[in-house]
Amino acid sequence: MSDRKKHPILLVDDEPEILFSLQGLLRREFELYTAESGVRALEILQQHPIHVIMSDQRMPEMTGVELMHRVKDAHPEAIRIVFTGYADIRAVVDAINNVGLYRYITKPWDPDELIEVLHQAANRYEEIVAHERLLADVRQYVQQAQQLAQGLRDQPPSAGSAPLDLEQFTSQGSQLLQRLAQATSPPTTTSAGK
Amino acid sequence: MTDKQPVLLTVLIETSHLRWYVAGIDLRGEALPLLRSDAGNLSPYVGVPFDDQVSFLRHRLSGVLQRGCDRLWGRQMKPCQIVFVADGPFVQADAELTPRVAEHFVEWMTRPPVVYLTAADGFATPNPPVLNQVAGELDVDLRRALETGLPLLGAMLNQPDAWERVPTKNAT
Repeated sequence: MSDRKKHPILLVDDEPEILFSLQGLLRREFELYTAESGVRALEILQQHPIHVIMSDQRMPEMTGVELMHRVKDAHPEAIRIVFTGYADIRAVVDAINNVGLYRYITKPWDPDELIEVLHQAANRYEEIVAHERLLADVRQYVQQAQQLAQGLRDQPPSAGSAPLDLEQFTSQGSQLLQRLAQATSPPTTTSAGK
Repeated sequence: MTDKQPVLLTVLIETSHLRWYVAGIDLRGEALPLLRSDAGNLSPYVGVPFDDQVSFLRHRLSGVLQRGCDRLWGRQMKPCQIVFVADGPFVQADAELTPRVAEHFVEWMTRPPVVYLTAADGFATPNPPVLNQVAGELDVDLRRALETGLPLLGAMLNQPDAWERVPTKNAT
C-alpha cells in the first residue's frame, strides 16, 4: 500500500478509545486527522484539505448528522460518512435526504470492508474534483471561444494578416471533448448503505 | 472470502460491577482475552428512563464490539459469531431491559449473527457453564467452542494484566 496516495481522512468520535482503535486500523492506508467533537472537526477542516470525513452519530454536543449539515455547507467537496451503533431511523433518513451522505455505516464494521469503503470514498472525492476541474476548463474554453468570435466580428482577418491560433484552440477543444467523453457519469453525492 | 481465522467475538458482562470484557474464542475453544472496561463503565444506564437505558446500552456495547473486531483484525482473526454472555439481567432496571437490548443486537446485526446468553452461575465455573438463551441462536459446534472457552476466560477475569484496559471517559 505504500505506493498508494494517502488521502487525508478526518475521524470524529467523542470516545478517544474508538479513535485510537481506528488509527491503528487505518494509519497505514490514510493520512489521518482525529477530532473528539464536531467543533474540533470543523476547525480541522478549516486547516487541512480533508477528502473524507467519518463521524460517529452519537456525540454529546453535536451529532454526526448535525456536523455533516455544517460540513456540507462549508466543505461540500468532502465525502461524508456517518457511523452509528444503534438504529436511529430519523437520523438515517435525515442524513440520506438532507446531508448527502456517501455511506451510513453501522458498528461494528468489518475492518477490511471499512478500509475498502474509505478507499471508495477517496476515489469518489477524486472523481468529484476531476469533474469540477473539467467543468472549470469547459467554462474557460467557452469564454475563450466567445472572445475569439467577438474578435473576428470586430476585426475580420484580412489576407496576409497573422493567422489566429485556431489550431491550438481546436486542439484544446478536442482534448476537452475527450475528457467529457471519459466522464461517463456525473458524480452523485448521495449513496446510503451499510 | 477471507483468510482470517474465524472466532467467536465474545462479550462478557458483569452486571454487578457494571463492566464488560471482550475476547475471542476460536472454533476449538481456545480463548484470547482482548479488552476490559473499568467497573462502572455501564453505570450511565442506571436511573435514566427506559428508552434511554436501551439507547445507551446499544451504543456502549456496539462500541465494545467495534473495538473487539478491530483487535481481532490486528491478529488476523475475524468474528464468525458475536456472543454476549451476561452473568444475569441488568441490575437496577426493569426486567424488560435485558431482552430488549439482546433483541436489538440480534435484529440489528446479521453479519456476523448475534446471540445473547446469560450464565446464571457466572463465568468462572470449572464445569461447562449453564447458558440460557435470551435472544438469537447458536450453532451446535459454536456452542461447544463457547462452552470450552468460557471457563478459560472466566479464570482470566481476575488477571487484569491479561486484558487491555479501556478507560472510561464519559457517560454519552
